[in-house]
Amino acid sequence: MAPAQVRNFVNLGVAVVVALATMALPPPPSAEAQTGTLRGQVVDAITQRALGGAQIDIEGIRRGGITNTSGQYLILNVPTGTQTVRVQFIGFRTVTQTVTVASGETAVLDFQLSQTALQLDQIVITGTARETQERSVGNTVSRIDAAQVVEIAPISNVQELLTARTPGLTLLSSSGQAGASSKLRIRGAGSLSAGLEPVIYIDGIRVESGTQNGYSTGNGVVQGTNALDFINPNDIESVETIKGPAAATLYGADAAGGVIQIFTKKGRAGSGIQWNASFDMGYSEWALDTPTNHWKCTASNIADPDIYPGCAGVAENTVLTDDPVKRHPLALRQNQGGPDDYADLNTFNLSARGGGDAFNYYLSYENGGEEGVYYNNFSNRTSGRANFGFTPSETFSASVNMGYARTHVRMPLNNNSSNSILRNGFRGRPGSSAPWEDGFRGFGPTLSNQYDNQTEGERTTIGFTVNYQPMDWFSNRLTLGMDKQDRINTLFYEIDTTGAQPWGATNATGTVNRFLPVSHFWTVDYSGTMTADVTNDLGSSLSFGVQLIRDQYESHSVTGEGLVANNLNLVGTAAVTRASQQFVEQTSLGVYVQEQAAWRDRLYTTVAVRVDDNSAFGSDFSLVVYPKASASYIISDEDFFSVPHVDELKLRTAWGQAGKAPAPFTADRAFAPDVTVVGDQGVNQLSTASYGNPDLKAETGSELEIGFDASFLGGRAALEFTYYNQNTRDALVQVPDPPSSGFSGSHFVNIGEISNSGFEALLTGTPVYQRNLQWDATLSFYTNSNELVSFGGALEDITFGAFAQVQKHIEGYPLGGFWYVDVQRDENGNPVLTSSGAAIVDYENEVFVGPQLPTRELGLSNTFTVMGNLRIFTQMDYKGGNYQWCAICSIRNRIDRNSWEVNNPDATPAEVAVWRSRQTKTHIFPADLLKLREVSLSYTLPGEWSSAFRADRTTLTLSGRNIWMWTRYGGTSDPEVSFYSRSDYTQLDYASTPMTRRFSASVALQF
Amino acid sequence: MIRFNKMLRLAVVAAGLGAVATCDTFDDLLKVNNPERISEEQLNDALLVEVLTNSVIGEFSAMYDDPFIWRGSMFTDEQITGINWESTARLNQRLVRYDEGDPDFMFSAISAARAMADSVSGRFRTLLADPGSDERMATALIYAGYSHIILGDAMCEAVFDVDETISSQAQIYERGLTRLEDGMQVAGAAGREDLVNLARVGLARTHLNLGNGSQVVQYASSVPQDFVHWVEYEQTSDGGTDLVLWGRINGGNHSLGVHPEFLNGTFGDKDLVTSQTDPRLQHTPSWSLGHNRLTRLYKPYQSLPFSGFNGEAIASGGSPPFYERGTDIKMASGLEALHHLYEAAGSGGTGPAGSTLDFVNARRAFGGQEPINLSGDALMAELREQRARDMYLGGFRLGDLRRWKNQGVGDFFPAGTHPTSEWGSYGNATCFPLPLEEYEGNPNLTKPT
Repeated sequence: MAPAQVRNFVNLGVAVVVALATMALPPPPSAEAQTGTLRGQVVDAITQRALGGAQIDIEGIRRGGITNTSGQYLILNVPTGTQTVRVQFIGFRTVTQTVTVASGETAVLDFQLSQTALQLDQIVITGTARETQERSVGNTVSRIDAAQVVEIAPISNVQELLTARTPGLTLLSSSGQAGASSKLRIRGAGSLSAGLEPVIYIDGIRVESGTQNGYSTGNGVVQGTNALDFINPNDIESVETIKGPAAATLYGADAAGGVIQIFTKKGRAGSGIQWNASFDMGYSEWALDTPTNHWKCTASNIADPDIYPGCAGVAENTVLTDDPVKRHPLALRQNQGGPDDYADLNTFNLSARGGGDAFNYYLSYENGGEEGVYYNNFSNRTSGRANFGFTPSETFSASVNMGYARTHVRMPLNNNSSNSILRNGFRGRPGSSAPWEDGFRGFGPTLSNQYDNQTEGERTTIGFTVNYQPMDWFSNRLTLGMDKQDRINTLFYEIDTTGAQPWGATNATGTVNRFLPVSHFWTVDYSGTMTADVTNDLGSSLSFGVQLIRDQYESHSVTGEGLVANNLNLVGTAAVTRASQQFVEQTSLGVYVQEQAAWRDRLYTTVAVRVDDNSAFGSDFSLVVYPKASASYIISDEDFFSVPHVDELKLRTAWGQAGKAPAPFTADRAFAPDVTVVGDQGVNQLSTASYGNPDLKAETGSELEIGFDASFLGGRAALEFTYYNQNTRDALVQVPDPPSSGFSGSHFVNIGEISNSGFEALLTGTPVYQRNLQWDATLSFYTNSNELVSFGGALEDITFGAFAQVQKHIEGYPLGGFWYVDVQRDENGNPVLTSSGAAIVDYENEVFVGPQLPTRELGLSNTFTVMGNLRIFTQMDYKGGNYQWCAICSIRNRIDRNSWEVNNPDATPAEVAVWRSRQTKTHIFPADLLKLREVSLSYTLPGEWSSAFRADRTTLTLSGRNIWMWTRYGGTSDPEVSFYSRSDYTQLDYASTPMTRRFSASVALQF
Repeated sequence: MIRFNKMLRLAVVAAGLGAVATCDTFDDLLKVNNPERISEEQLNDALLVEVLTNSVIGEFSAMYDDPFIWRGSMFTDEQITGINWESTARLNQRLVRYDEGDPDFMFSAISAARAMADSVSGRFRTLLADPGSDERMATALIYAGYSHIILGDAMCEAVFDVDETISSQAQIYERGLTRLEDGMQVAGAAGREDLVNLARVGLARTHLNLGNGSQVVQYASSVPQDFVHWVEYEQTSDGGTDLVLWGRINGGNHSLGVHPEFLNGTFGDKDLVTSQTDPRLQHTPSWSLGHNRLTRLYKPYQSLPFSGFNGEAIASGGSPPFYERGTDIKMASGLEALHHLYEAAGSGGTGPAGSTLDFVNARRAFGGQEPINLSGDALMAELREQRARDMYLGGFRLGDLRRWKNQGVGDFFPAGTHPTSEWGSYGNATCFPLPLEEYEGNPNLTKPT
């Protein structure tokens, strides 16, 4: 950032702070009052089970605590007199009781809470101008109670936490490698080229998310890592997701893809200190089948032992078979066969949580790691978090939330790499000469495992939030934050001493490549709210705010070629050194005003408008206006409401707009510096870089949501239902630069219109609710219908795909849908063959197969609690309606010819000719899958056992992940894999690692 | 309780914040730096003249080894490939589709060089004090001309701007002529005889492709026989780029092999030492499997167009060198001019090297071959053979084969069963079609059906 801009940035923050401070100062501290003590216990009204973790608040004095594992609480220094005490606990109705506290005495106040599946009084933060009760929000806000999930499910990162728990939020995994990234999609695909990832906030500050680049991630040779992997799931209290423009208007020009906000755990004032420690250990394994390689020895093979040594001496048409990935001892760790040879994983967590009269804190430490199924794959993380809250007065509070993490990931070659284990194992020809190791088409595992691509990262997030309420009707919130990430990605090749130069002539000299990206996100977010009771029935809440997000990315790449020795591997010591640098920055600024009217606390209407300005279009800044309107009606509060078995019913609707802006300077035609050789000297030159489009503008997403939230059967069941209809206009479409212009690449044009519609349902309930047995279940369902409505007459279609042009953006069909071509056939359907017996691909007739993204998803989780101590948890999820292109299947048939179909001695020549052709009809498969994703069995030791080693609570857990799968997919094994982790639409299965099965055991202690 | 007066006051504050957000103070916050790019308007700067000249040369070098030589020679009988990339490997079977990557790579890279040279020469008309006698203007014009030659040799047809129509191969060459003629004139005025000769060779080559024999003789006869102009490659700490062919013969995934047409022995034999007598066609004496683990590859050593050529032959106990990352390629030479000249002059022609037969026998002697005494078509066939050997993998074969086919001399593209017999037969492609990217990015074109 330039100095002048730093000044402006600081000035903005200071100006807002000063403005707030001058409006009213915090009142002076009051004289010390006489106090007493309050204690009690919170239990489940039906099962009488103690409820640990319930939040106790004494209204009006910002004092409270949380219950321990026995459900007991203790609050010191409670002012004397009658106090109103409120108890909140996730999944239970909030209960408020009064108690009289006498000076120097201890008052006892016990609570019995009743379960409720619908919590309209729950506080919502994301997508609203201020903290708001859910009853007043017109759009759906999905919430994951992460603390509860992590306690019972095998969760090691945020991606796993988000999987199949929120209807409409789709997680697209790319690979089962340790540390590999995934893609997030909310309600389908609303943009062609401007990105589909939602934006992520942690405690109110914007953070970098998505798949990260590194050496060889751009072409699928190496899977990218995930920017959210720095977060310890044990630090997360909850996750809120708002799903589209109807809800995300207040986030402006980046938020059309939705917003996910992660809330970390906080301390509790006046609750003493609570320690938690846990230790997990386990292993992961490749649990799915691998394709078997076949080779039918022909007469010419038998006569050519140089190329086909395995065919020497065998009978003609003998079919040889091999499965080198499962056979070779160095291909997968588990191939060694011993119990210690599996990929290990372990994690240690320690946290402390508590607070005093006017402060609270949460501190944590985590160290853990996971080995991948390959020898050169691991992902380790060490992290810490320190969250502090201060409440010096009833009108003023402040919090500082800091997170720090160090990550270390080593990624193997995969997918498109000519040198990866999977590619060469799946493409091997049994009996053929292999240049390196038998059965592998290229490198064998011995060489592949030498690949040394490691990324070490440091991530620091700091957020500072001030809440100030100078008057009871006027509240202010200011958040300042920074997310900084430093990475060092090193790709190292040792000096080749064999003379074979397997990694190429340059790398044979010993090379070291270091890529050092540094990214910053700065957040300044102010909001103010004024409330007023206009009449006895009508309340008003006027909010306004300003949000500034600045994103800066700078990277340096250095390469050293020709090392003196392997341990002298500093770049500067190499014979040839090179360096490059990249710098990108972007700033967005938005201001908004929102008015919410509340009628008798049951009918809420909200209107808002956000005005955005950003630097995406270079110096020619343009303003974009995003409006929204919503309504929420708690109709069950009306006297006339009487529907059998329905306890509460909230009707809601919301409409709004949000945007997607391209990267900065994409509108400008520009050239980039480069180097060339003239007269044996390295000299500067310029190359074409950006074709540009001076007419470029932001794309706009509009969305209508209609739905209801209802609870039934005395609160034991709840249903949230939402219909959504999204439309994106002026969609940014990336079209090729015409090469005749001298530019090569692509540029943006605003020509697209896209629609997404569907519904989401979330059914939660407790079918069995007894003292000794409780069964909690959650069923989520989501549908999506995606369509490219129009290219505005500017394009016929965009055809793309890897290894074959199997995907299209074409009007009237889903974005990135799959299309196949067959071979030419006669009137009887038999393939037409050439004189040499080859099938002829019919490229003129492309046939639509189906969409790339799932059109329906279902998640089902069940928790059985037996005798209060034993819990059994399962989660299954289904995705379907989408398709997967098995490119490796096609390649095996048409190039390697090592599939059974091609080598089947009983197959007719015509059948084999079809398999060997470039048709894609038989290689695009339905990707429907049903997975038993998570299973756990946990047992909480009786209290007296735990107290034997001074613990309040001890829980032992056995858990598993990716335990079982059913699928319609006919490709290699797992339809969830994806070749390009960094691509929005290109989707294929090409030698990708399937999701691994994982088992772990853990012990968790609470003190 | 209603506090409308205070609400109003604070609402004004909020409105003020909103208003401020649109004013200049906030514009400062939104300003961002872009140190990676320079806008098109900023190129009109006299301080950038040297850089722009380098840009013309640099863009030409970037496309010359790959895609032009490496991918272009895939269609010819110069190389067989062991590359694993499926669509690129199909080029070697003379199979190409306009919607696959290689036509785009070819057309984009050559167009980048062509457009850079054309735009820089246009800018130089105002940026230079005396553009009519400035060697930098001459360089830009001549490289623009050569870019057209390369474009004409490789592409079936071309487009030069999104507003223009499709040009045929002959029209591409015609456009190049004007640039070479202008460049030669400016180079002469600037006193740069080397650039004049570069233009002369280019003009001779272009006229040969257009069938203008007399102009070929006119320009080629004026080129000194020892003239050479190089396309340079180097990879050093101060910059540059590798010769792509160097990467294609090295490492576990090497992919470049000599086609049986130019092989000194029988394809697939393990030991071809004794037959390797012509220093222009040296290759590893035994084959290895490269990137696709299928095709038998005899890696080529540096042939005559490359800067490391040492004239040694394996059969004589010599050690011809492999390509290095800094090996340069002849962009034009006096020898090339002679080949143009004698081909245009015909079997009875004469030139600086004597008669056509004298020239052919001189080239045979260079290659360690016995003299011959041929005439007519047989002599011209031998001239073509010597041309192929002298220019092996130097970026001429594709244009030559297309010219001979177009001008009715003969179809010498490889045909029949491909040396990698598993692939089947050769197709019939002779050039690269306009790529899908041009059809999708150019509003004036319609995709072929």
